Amino acid sequence: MSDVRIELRYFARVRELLGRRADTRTFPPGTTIADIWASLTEECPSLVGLTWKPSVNQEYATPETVLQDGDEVVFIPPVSGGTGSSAPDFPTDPSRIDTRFVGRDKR
Amino acid sequence: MTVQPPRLCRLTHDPIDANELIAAVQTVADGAVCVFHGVVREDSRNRKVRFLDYDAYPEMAERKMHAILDEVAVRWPDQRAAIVHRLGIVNVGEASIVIAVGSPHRGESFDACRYVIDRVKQEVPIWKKEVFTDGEEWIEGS
Repeated sequence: MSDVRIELRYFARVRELLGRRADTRTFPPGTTIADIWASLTEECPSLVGLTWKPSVNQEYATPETVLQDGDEVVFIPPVSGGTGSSAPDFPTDPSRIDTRFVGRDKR
Repeated sequence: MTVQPPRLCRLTHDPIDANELIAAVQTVADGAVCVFHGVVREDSRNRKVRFLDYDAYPEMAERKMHAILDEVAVRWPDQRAAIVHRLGIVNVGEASIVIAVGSPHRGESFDACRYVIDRVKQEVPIWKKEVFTDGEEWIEGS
């Protein structure tokens, strides 16, 4: 089996720490995403400890994924999130509900 | 037959015009258009934000945004949603994202709008760096 050629693209903190946006590299067959991350952390130890989930060809994947020739891989840092609660925050205190309009609109 | 407007779903470096999103989702069958603006706030953990700098994996971000609109179409077949997300520098008070949902009735329009913003936060590879008066920091979601 021949080596696989992988397109690596870097974003956000990973890009800043590596100091570049992309690489094209060849790896031996059977290389996983985790293997590539290990080689990057060897080159750039400040990457150690970053959290990410990988994508392959623009779909989320797992670090154990074995890569195919031509795959595009990104180590995706947690997305920007925000601190909004995940459940709707409706007022439960009746004094906070404006009752003037409740029940008026029957659609 | 209701004429379906073309889907609006994109990333932009320019200020977002909410009217464009409303026009993209509203049909004559609608009794409600719910619009959400996610805006940049000045205070973040007691530091003063100068602006946010948004970075994205653009091809995947647009793909995921389209997938979320597909989910809306399945869950709420009679509603339409639109998403526009800013990239690059977004100043305090400006919208980094605007979502609009057109619906026959208001209840589902709130539900769908909430659904879209929550899914965007979970799935879409966009990151923000907070630039403070005294430094900067990438923000990672929880």
